[in-house]
Amino acid sequence: MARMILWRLVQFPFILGAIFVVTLTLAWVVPGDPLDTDDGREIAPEIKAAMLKQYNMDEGPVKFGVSYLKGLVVGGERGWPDFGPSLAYKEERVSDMILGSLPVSIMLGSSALAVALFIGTVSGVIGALKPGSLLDLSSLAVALLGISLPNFVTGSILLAVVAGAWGLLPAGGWDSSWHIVLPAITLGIAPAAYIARLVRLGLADIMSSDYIRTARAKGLSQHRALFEHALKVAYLPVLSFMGPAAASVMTGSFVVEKLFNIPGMGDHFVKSVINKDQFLILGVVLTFSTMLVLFNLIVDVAYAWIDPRIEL
Amino acid sequence: MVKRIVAIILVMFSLPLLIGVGDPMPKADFVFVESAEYNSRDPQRMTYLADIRLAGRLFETLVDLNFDDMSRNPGAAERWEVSEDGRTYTFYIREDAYWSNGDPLTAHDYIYAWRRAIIPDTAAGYAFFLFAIDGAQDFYAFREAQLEAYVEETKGSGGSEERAEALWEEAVQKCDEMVQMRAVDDKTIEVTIRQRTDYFLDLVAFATYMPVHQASVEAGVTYNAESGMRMDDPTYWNDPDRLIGNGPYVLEKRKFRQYNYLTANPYYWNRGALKNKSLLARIISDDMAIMMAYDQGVVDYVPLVSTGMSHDLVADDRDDVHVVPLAGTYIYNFNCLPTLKNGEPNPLADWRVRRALCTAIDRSQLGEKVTRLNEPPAYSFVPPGSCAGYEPPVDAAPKFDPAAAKALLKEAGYENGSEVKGLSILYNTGGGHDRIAQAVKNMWEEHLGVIVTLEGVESKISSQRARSQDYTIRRAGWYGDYADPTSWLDIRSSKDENNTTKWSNLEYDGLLKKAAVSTDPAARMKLLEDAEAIMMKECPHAVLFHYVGVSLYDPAKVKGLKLNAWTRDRFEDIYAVDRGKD
Repeated sequence: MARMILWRLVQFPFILGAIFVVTLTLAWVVPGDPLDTDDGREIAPEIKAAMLKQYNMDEGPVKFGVSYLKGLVVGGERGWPDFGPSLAYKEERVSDMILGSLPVSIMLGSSALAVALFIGTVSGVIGALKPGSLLDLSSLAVALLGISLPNFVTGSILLAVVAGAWGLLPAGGWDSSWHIVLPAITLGIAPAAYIARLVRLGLADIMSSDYIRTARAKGLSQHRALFEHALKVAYLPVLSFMGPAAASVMTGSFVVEKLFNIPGMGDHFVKSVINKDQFLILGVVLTFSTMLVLFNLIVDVAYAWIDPRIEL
Repeated sequence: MVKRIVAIILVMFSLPLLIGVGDPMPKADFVFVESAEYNSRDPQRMTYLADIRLAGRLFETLVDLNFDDMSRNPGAAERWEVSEDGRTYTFYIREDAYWSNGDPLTAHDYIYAWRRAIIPDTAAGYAFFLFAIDGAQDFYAFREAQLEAYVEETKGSGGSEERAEALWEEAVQKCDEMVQMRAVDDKTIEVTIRQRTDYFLDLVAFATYMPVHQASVEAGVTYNAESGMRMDDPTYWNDPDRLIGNGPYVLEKRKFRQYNYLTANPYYWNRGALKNKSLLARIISDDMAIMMAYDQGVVDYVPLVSTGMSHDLVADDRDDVHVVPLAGTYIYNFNCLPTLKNGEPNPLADWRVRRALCTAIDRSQLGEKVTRLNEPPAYSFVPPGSCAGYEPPVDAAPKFDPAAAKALLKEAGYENGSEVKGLSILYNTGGGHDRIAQAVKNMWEEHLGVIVTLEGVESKISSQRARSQDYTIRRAGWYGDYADPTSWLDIRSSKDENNTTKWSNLEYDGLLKKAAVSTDPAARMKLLEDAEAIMMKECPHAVLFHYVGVSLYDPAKVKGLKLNAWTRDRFEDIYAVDRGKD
């Protein structure tokens, strides 16, 4: 296992390097000028030239890329890693923007995943235990809705009913723990439905397999067979689903964040591209990639932890 | 096994509790919405309206322009004098004007800020506002040449920060010699402008002319060895601990994309007049989230409701929905170059074709049926009533008349509208521009037989294509920066960088130049009216309507708020009746 982790860590800089080159190239060739303002006013050409020079963007992507990498690896005047300034918000440092919003997204994302795991596992197990029962059918219906409804619809409904009509929870913002509840449910409901399906299918499959039948024949109760033997195996696909799901959910959801007015990472992903803010684009892509690699590693380790048969 | 799964779920649930969501939002006397985070708090660099509005709370200009009646009142200067030829202004700063850290406000702070605005190092978007000062533009050119020479010289041999700093010392001296602005003493500023400019005081009341606290800005200054430029620390403007202002409020606390919390500046000379002790600008970008926050009473005031929401609100006929005409015009720019980007001849190069298109637009339909905000149809580029003493030449403007439009097309050599080919309307997606474009397209088809295509693109792409004249017809809008017709008319002079239509009319340019040196205000306005008449005749752009703004606040609850055409709310005069009690 240690060798695997080490090997992954060795690969890591190369993966990031490749992603950096590809992202920089794409961000550079996308049409649009990052220094244009939304209000349609032209900046005098000489002033624009002065600005480009300040950002090391005056001589093409290579010079820019090298200076960016320097800030990233060696660090800039404002510490390490320095992702440079934002072009849209000229007084912000990309590092500060990411540091400010990543914890928010991680928090929201982990709550959403917890919601997903909890709802998904419970309704999946119910479905497998009593297939065709009212509980199973209703959890299936919820799962179907969860997968089919886009989260801006789920979110709007929750917002209008729970926060608006009932006034039970705050409508938006990021001031207290209560503010997490609605967005976490909104964000968690789709993966919950997915997990429920995985668990239900897996369990149904395994419960009818030979070794469970043998265990049951030896007098093991259905519950013990399910919880002690079957769930372990049925949970493996859930785990492999969790890696990328965690990375994507924890690096923010533009729609949910916008709807609930949450200052997370999702906004950066969309706005950086719209604004053609190259510094921010590179910053968020590199952060996302790092998290993706990291979560996949965590999932592989968790695999081995949950199922000792697996050797890494 | 089950324990392990439960463990995972428990850890994930407890993460948020362990980290915590941070401090709760501060409570304030008055809460309003901003639909986007401020781009800049640096008065010299800012270009966005929302930023300029905020800057007016944090910094105070010498002259205070009241946007309700456009009167010019004493701000940080208690009085000023103008020389007989109208070129030299002397401002006397109040004795009791201080910075928010208690330092006295001096004339040197203004000179420092103004020089900062002029130099190319700062790359200030509104540097040209300072070019009204005699010698400022020459100094800009000097510094630019100086930097270029530095880069040339140090190539290979390598520059150093010391050399760049020495370069700057030299530039400062040159600035004192060249630019006709000086601190006569600690409290007196004398400025000589290039030529008599009646709206110079309005420029002085603009953000670019705000002072900055020299010592604290200077603390962040570095010199770039490679480019020779002088740089200051952009994060200074974002940092409540470091930012020092001389306005009615100070930036007490902020969270990026969440809020800006302002409290009364204890050193502000007119602090007794403030109607509230604290302001909270909550940043909410989603329409539905804004409406929720407003309906729940979390915010008192929504300055500008987005177009997606506004027509429903206006249709509801509510007491708290306020519609106010704005000093801006919605336009369709025409590419006036003889050949298009693809080498084809441009039918729009003929002004009769452009005018025919303008004549075939039924403007009243746009406000009534398309946007449904009843914007006033536009028959001039300068919105009527936005500049005192100026009567826009609406008679010269094309009015809706399909027969006349067809006749004009015929005159231009097109028997049939369908012979005019290759036109398309380029617009930026979002904001309802697609529906307006669709309506105009239909009007042209119906009344003229001209078929155009529609092209919706992102706003950055639209700007880029405008700059390279890679378009035929393009949606745009223009708001005035100051209450003088030149704030609109200048952008159609041949050399202006904002003139992406490339329309060039020597008579028009000549009239603008003549007006610029005119010493008689009435005659000057007449010259500008004549210029606009030429513009309206030749139609470098189609004017569709003048913008209106839709705001939300409950007049029973919010007092002292006066909406104006320039969306420059004076937050120091506004208060909410029952705020602060909860």
